[in-house]
Amino acid sequence: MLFNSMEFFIFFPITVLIFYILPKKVRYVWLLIASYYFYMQWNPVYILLLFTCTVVTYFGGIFIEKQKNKMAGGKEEEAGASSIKKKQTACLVIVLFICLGILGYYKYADFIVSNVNRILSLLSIGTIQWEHSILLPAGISFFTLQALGYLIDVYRGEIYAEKNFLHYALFLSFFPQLVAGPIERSKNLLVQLHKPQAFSWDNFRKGILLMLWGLFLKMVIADRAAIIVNTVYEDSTYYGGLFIVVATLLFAIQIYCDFYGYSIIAKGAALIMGIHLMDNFQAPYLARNVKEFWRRWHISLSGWFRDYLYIPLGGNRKGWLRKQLNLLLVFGVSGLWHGASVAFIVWGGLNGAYQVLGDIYTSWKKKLRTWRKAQDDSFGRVWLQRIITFGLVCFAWIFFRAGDMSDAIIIVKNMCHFNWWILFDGSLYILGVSKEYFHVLLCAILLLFAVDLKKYKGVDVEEGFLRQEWWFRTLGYVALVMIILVFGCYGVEYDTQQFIYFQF
Amino acid sequence: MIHNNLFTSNFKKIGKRIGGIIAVIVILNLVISGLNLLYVNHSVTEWSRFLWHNFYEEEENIDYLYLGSSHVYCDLKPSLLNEINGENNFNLSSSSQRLNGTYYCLREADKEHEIKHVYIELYYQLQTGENGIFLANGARIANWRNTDFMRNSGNRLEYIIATCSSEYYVDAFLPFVRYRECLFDVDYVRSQLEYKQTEDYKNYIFYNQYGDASVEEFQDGGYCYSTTTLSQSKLNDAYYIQGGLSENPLTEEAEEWLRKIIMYCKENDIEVTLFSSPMYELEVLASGNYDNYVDQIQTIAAEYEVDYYDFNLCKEAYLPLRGLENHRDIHHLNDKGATIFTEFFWKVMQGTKEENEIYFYDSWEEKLRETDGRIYGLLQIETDSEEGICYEVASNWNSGMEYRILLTPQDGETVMLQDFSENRIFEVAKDEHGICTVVARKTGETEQVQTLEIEY
Repeated sequence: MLFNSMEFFIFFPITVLIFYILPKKVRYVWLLIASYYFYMQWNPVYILLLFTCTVVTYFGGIFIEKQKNKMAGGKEEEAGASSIKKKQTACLVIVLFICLGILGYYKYADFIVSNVNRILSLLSIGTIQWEHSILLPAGISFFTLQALGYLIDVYRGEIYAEKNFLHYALFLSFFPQLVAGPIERSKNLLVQLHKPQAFSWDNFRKGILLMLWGLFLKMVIADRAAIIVNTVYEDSTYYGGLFIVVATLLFAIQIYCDFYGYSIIAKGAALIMGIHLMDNFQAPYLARNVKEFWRRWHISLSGWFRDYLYIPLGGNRKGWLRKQLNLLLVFGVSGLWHGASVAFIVWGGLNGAYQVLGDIYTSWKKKLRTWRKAQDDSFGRVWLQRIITFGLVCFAWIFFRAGDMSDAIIIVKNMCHFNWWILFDGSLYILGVSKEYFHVLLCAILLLFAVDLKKYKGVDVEEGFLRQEWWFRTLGYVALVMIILVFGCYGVEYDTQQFIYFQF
Repeated sequence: MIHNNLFTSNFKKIGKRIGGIIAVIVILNLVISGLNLLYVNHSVTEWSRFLWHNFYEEEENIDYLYLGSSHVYCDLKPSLLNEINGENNFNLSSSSQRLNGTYYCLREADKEHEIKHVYIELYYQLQTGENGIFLANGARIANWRNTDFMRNSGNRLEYIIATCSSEYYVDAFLPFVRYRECLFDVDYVRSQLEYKQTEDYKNYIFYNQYGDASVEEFQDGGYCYSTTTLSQSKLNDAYYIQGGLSENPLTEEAEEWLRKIIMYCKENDIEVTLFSSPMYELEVLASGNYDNYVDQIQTIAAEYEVDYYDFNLCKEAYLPLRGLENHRDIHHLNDKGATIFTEFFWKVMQGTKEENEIYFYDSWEEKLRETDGRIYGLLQIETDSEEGICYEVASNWNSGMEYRILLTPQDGETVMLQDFSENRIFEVAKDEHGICTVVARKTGETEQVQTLEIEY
């Protein structure tokens, strides 16, 4: 069920209505039923994977905590304590193995087998017969990470294991964030699920506003930009040079609006039910360096990798070289998490490499700045940094969008032949979007840019809107609805586009 | 942030919030109405607009209701039926109305009136093959012709939900959305506004005059008065069904909705009769095997003890519609034909099944067999050829007739394709147009039976 589908527009109000009609004590059961129903709309059988992941991590958490309690009771000798710790670790490893094994099978089996076969055929050894066509379960990468994050927190003793199985099942399956995040922490979400809120008008109108804004980003910007991006990328040998540059810039906008749109709808939907989800984006394209970009882009994933991979690997505590290696490794894994393809690993690696180079440049820059006495936050400098960062990120997006390394190389090669005239001779209007709609797209992007600029400066745009006079708010809501209805991509003319991050 | 509970907040606050929601809805409604006015092209759906206006304006109770496709509004004259049976008759039929649409139109009529008897027309092309897939594009648009002009009600809501898939709900509820490609087309918007300013539009007058004599007019009761006459040159049908209708040609959906309609009538004490309108024979021949369709409908009708009359099986002596002067086109009758048909229709409706047997052949095959050798026009046959269009001379006899076929292309000389042979199939180049002359005679005889000059 897509957030921009009619099914969701029917499902969601019914779910919310029943949620508030029911007594607070049983609301979580209703939400769990609704969440499982929501997930089963894609592929009912795959609910078993979510359920398995839930059961395994739930009992894993309970087991680890029981062992911890034994230790805390002081009943065990030092040798016994060490044996308990070993049991805890063994349990963690087994659960990690099961969950990552499921993820690996569904997401990476094809990739692994095809690469092994490539090597075997190079060595002239027979290949592995693999004729399974595996359909990737929606959201598996998200709920697996969320479940593992919970278990590691229990193992580290940062949280108590959840005793109520249904509460825990809801934590993993809560439908607004189930298939594309944000990857929530138990400290935030699980706690809220225990304390259902009364209906709040403020939450309701802010939630509706967020959902409308998310739909605007998805349907008016992302899906319209997708038409141009798909046209160019599907025939990149025909559309060279500046066409690819324009398409790549638009892809950067598309993926941002697509994913940010999903996250903001999820946030709005949860807020209407009194649950506050974390922000997943904070004006990332206004970042002044790649490091900052990753602090603002897919915040929940970056945070997860920082807490559960980068820091355990040693983070920046084991010297400069180790830090850089850790960074490269984390971003390589992040690339692999996004997709089972060399191109995704290169995309992740590039982002890691940018940060390594950024680190080197920073230390060199400090010396230079002292010498030039230049202001660090002058207008020109800030915007130059932003443009360079955006350019670097866009270059990496080429590998992400191409999805295949050979295609990405061809695209990069073809990109070098520039013909500036296409910007002025109407060539851009033959890529599937008419001149008028192209201008609408540019206006919508400008609106997004203005809002992000405010956000970057720390202004809460939504709160600002909600503080306005009633007539202004009314017109604002109506305008958003009408803009989506008139300029959105849906219905007879278009196929409803899936959210990009569903495939991860 | 202060969390206010909606149910415990004071009355004033709640009133303000409800007022806010109402304000949003009212403004949205105004904007949407404005966009509908600017963009929705009513010139393509004007028949339905007039029909539903006429239906809701009807003050008298509708006693006898006729539902179905354009065959109903062209072939049955409610004013004449009013005179004959003394009751109020109404055609709530619309172009390409599928059986799912018929079901909801019936419910709408039943909601507003006390219907005594409903007559369901069953045009074979709309219930079989691709046209019989009711969620497909054509069927969806056919249903929008009704839902766009129906009054808001639970029935309308159910009609929309049941007859289109969810991805089209927005298009179904908000018609302007379908015209978004014209969003920036000022000329289009201007033409719509001009059209909607005309007196005919405002007063629901549908009157078109073609040439000197040919007139089409919407008349009360849902009747399309037409003086257009089918010309010999137009006897060219592209709707040929390759391989003929299958043994049970009704699609599952069509059968399901037909049963639903009958059950609805039974449950609500409405008498129901099924019928198929008479068409120019060429149209029936295009089915390939019309009897399969008739048999299946008859089986379903018998199951529910409902009468089914197919007027295409009528003997010519009782329903003399053969002449082109009675037809508007190969699908529909004109006013002259409708007058003949309406009188006969009611005569049949007054008789019992047994009494009426005399008027009908048992099957379409029997009708073809019993009628003298004739030719009806040209049927376009599907082929793999990319360069040519394949034609078959439509005749009631598969053998025993021979044909001379001559082609006269535009700006070209007449070419004889064959000189009296039993072969009926020939091909012409796709981009070639002109007049095809077919001369038919009985095999072995010298006297020519019939000559047709048809555009190709």
